[in-house]
Amino acid sequence: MSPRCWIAGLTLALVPSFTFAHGSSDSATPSAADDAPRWAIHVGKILTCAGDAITDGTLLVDGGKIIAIGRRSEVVVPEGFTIVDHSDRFAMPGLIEAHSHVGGSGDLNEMVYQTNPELRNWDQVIPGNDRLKVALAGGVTTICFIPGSGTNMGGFGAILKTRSGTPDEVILRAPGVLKIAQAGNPERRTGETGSDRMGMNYVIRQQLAEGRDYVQAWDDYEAGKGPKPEFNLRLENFKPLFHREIPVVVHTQQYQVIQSTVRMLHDEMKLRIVIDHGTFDAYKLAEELVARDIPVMAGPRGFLRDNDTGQLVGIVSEYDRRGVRVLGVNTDAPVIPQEELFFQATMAVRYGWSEERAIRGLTIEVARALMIDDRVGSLEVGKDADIVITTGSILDPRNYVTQVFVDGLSVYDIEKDRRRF
Amino acid sequence: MKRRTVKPSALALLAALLLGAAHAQETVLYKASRVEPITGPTLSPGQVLVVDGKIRAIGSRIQAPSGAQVVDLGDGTLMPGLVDAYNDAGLAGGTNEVTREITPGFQAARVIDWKDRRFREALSQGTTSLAISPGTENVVSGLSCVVKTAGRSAESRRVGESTALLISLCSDPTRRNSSRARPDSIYVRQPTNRMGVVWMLRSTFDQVRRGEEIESGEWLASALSGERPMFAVSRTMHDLSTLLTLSEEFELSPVAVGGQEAYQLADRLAAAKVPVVLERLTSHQLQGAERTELVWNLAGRLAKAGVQVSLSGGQLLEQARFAYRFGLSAEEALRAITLTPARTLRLDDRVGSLAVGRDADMLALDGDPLEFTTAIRWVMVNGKIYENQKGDSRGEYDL
Repeated sequence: MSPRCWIAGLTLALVPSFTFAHGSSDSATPSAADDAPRWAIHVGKILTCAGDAITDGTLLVDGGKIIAIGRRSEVVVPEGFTIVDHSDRFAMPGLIEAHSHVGGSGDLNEMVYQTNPELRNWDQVIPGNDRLKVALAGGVTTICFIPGSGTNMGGFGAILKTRSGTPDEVILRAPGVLKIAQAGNPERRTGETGSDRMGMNYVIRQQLAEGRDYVQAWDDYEAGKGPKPEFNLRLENFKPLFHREIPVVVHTQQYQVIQSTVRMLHDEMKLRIVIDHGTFDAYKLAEELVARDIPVMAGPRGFLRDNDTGQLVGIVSEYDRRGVRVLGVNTDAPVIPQEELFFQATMAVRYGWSEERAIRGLTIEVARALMIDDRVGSLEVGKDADIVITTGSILDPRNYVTQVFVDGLSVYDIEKDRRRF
Repeated sequence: MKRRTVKPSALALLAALLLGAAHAQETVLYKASRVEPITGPTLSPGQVLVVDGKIRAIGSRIQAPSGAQVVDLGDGTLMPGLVDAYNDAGLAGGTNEVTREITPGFQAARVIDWKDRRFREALSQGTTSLAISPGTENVVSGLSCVVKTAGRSAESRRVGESTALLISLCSDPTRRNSSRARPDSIYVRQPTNRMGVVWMLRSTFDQVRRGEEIESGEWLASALSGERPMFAVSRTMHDLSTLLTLSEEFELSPVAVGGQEAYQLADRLAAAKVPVVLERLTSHQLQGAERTELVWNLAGRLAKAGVQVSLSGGQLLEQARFAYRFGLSAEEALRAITLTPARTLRLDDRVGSLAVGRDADMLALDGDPLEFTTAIRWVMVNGKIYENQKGDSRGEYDL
């Protein structure tokens, strides 16, 4: 039994109410797990995003994972753990960004064809780049790094941690998501089919149908129900997509456009989708989204002047009021700087979102939308040790981040690094 | 600084006349206080026997055949002529084809300007072999060609005809594909960014791997199979990382060219046995091409990690001195401008070291090659000595 398992086992014995979910030796961040120090972090209040908050709590971190969490009086700190005392501070899960363009070089849009399922952006990931360094200081530990919306189907994006390391070490999942842009930005193009909204919907649908048929043909073949299809590198990334292992993040907004998003991508193509702007009056379609369990990561525009009433309304709180629960915010960084993600939630709270849901909307709900909630999004045993220490609730703009752990590594600490944000 | 003027060609002519033979063998024994064979330990003193442009013997003391001339360099040093694995000297008529992206059949060998003054510059700096490489604005840009920097005929100067296939795994191929002048239909052709570059490489490799017919695909096939070196221009950390990813996906054994940020992936490059041909780095540059981060001890850090490093792009001796000053070992610094580039080009059976059977390409120097004050006395290509009497790049060479 390795020492790590021994500690986990010990913790289990001492803290019987916590489930043992170790077994991370196949973690995607092996070097972090090997080198990561062991931490015992005492915190005044832990916002776990998995049940109630814990007052006067302790987190044990080993091998890049959380191996114990509970009240300080109940968690025994084994030998060999470095104690970090934040007993006057808050801890919360690392923030997750659903829509970011700052994970690497600026190669956003490949602007020749309207649909580009063959493109992928994880070849340009630059771990720990200057923007990500500041993002960490805003508590953002995971981003969904996606191609731009210059074309209808910009390519496949990757989900990555914001810490330094090699691309292999920081990429959490690649392909992470497919990026589709309906309406808006791609409309500026001319010169080939897809210059108007009907045309764009036509080309997106055609491309998805081609992908769906390709994946179906391979599935049939592998189930012994059909001939061997011809390999097509261009369509290969559709496999996890149509197997519903990864979602499509859709640049979609306005009532009419979201309607076609829901009908085409969800109902007809049976894909997992995330509404990734959902701004303007799109919230009026919330009931349809609730009925289908479709997540909304709203923003970056947070408000709308309702022409009927003359009122300024908060878009996130309108979705919330209508029952959307897998609900979060986004920055579309660098449209809004990556580190300001929590401001987006703060402003939504100002317009009526509940604080508890706003904290979840920065963490676990984004993780659920992106289908990475087995790894990140909450502080629970077995999850990645992505922990943000703050001077108080992050939703109060007077508070700020004092330390950040990603994969169990202390990657930002105002005591050492000075305050970056 | 001592300079000796030796006129072996005149002596050779005399010898030929005396022997009365129309096709006499030219046999010269060179003696120096120090000889750097590169493939073995320093010889001090050392001797090299050159017969008809080839090295016939090398050692501390050689029994000179009767009739051989003897050239004594006194306290001078002899080392192999320098090999530049990535350069565009002599490439006439443009370095990039602008109408298409995948041009594996385009050959630098077809457009060599043998009189290009850059050959004389290179020769004056000690470079005797040089890989003329196509530019970087095509995704697959074509084939490099290795030539000697001097010689009477094109035939005698050619070392490799279609030596390495050049690909561009960087942002250069996107440069001309967007036109700000036509905002209505701006982007005319893939790739307009890195995603497009990577896709075009992957799709092309995939086509070749599956045996699909593509124009000049045989050149690509030979580079994919490893039969011919594949030189990939990659400078940033992320492009070098992608090169490793593609190497796994398509089972390639590429050479990374540029490599400015390779130090960030030194261990992975060493583990994957990817040699790196560095672009020129000699002085206090803050950034490299594509705004890459530069570290002055780049070569030293790579070599320490176990990467095969070559220096390229001209001024090789100065580059080696610079790299040595910032941490590359003396032995590695000399190899990085001779044997390693020769091996990377797979021409080490002809150039890059002083060994029996190799071409007689040598530098005679005043002293330690890595000392900044050491001057080149003369450069030998295929047994013929070229002296730079004026000491400038124009030279008084009889090419």
